[in-house]
Amino acid sequence: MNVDSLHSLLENAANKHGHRIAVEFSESQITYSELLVRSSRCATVLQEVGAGPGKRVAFCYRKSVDAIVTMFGIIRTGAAYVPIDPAWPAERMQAVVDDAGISIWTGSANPPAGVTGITTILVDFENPELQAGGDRNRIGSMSGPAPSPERGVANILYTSGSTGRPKGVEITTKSLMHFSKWAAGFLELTAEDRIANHAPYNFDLSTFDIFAAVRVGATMCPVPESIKMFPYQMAKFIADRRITTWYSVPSALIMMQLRGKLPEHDYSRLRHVIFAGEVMPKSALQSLARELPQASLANLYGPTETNVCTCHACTAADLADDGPLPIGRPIDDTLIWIVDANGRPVARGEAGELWVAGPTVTTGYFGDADLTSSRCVPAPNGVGHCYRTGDRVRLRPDGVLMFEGRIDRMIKCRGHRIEPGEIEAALHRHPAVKQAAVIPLADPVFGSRLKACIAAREGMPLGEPELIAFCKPLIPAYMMPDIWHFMDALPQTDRGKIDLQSLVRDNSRPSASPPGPTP
Amino acid sequence: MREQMATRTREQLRDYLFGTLMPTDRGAWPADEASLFDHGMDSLRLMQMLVYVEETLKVRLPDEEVTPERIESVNSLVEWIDSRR
Repeated sequence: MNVDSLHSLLENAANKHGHRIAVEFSESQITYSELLVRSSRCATVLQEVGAGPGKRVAFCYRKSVDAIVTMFGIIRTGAAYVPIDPAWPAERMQAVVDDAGISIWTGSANPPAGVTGITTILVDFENPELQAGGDRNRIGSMSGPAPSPERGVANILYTSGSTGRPKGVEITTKSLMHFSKWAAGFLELTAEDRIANHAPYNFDLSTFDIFAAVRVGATMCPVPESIKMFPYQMAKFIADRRITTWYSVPSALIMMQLRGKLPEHDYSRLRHVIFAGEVMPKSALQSLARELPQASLANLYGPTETNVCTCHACTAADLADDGPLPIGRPIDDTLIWIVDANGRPVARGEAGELWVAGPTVTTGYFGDADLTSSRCVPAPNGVGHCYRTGDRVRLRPDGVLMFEGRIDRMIKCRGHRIEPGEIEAALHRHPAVKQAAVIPLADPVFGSRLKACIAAREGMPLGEPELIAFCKPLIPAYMMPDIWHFMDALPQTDRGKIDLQSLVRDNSRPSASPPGPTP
Repeated sequence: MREQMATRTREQLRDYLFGTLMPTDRGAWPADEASLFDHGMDSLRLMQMLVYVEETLKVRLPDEEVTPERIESVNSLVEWIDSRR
């Protein structure tokens, strides 16, 4: 197979597997041949409004066939797509539009009021009128070879930023090509596979579902938004859609294991269950292994900036003890270092920060040279750059990596990467907030829950309802603290900073009521 | 009797949902027909709510019957819970 770009993956799939179903969603489906034609027509429309190399195009979709058509349409033009979660507040959308210099917006609906300065393209190939000969059917397909994106950046994924503004991680074509090739080989994917797409498009997990599927001509099966909160419906979806490969954050799997009644369903087609994005509790893994004995289980690791960089295929030995699950060994062509606070490699077996170099590593943060130079540093071997993950790891004697937490304050909550500083910045915009700190509370199912500790200015009474209402337009729902604690003053260190360790220590009691079925 | 129970269920549920579970402005609790999904219902809160209903209201809610339609609003929830008593 001779492919050198994401679009050539699609061309190759259309040539080899044109009649096969590329995307199956709800009652809709589209073959690889149709996907190639429709995405090329979409590219023509996008080109007319200026999309091309060096441009960023907003991509605001819930799961649908049109979303995949549009994604490949943007890729076809050589522009970078910038996923925007339709559930984000308008202010966050605008922040991303401004930061990425976006002038073209694609989506299944108009952007909310308040998002301005853009040309909107609504793609709706499912509309019967358009299929029957509307304007779009008269639009020709974009011809000629697909141009390469500027600096090789295929998409920009925005994650929580500690300064209060989201930051845009540049994901290159090279990264996605390398990762999808490795993943397809590791899992021995073929055109017969049916790969679920659970993660939203603004999560890097979704790039596996899409590009690994296209690489082998497999069928993508997006999970409808309407069932993603419902463990039984998701468990049934996997069986009904004869899914062979499932990839999600652990919390989605834990929900299904707790309330999905897995033993009731037929999972004879399910070959692989892979997870990433947060720590998988061993007890949940053991239960999954019991209830899905025919599926291989694998733990993939990597921040958005590195895509997947290590992998651990779960073994019987992993399941036999209650210790933490390894994050495994580096994937193909990936180099890692475990370093101390001065960037010097630690002795074998000692814990340190994980630095990663290789083809999947980001080129940096869009438009933020300072942040890029602080996180993407010269590699210790003197060849190229590597990414400082901020994750604390240790190498086990048998050569696998163990994750031991963060060296900074970042919190993982249901797979979302949350910088407490972004929530604190929103809280500090309230005139009555004198001090604010957001800390994680351990949760047995969802990794962490968020607790906000607040001190109000004197004479300015403040309560939870007011702060919730204030923060709603500023931060996504998943960043809203679950618990609010009002104090006269937050504890301080000798140097006058908020004593976060003291707050965390005082709140390290286990949660009273872990969510699970009543016996 | 049945009507009284439904009223009590509704009060308890509203207190729990909007007073404890959801990120809701206490001064403006949503109406009983309002979509809970528009007011912060997510996967974690759904799991917590099911545990609350089972442990506090003592009503078993079968997993296979948990659908978007049934937890769309306070009204649909109360109707479902009462049908399970």
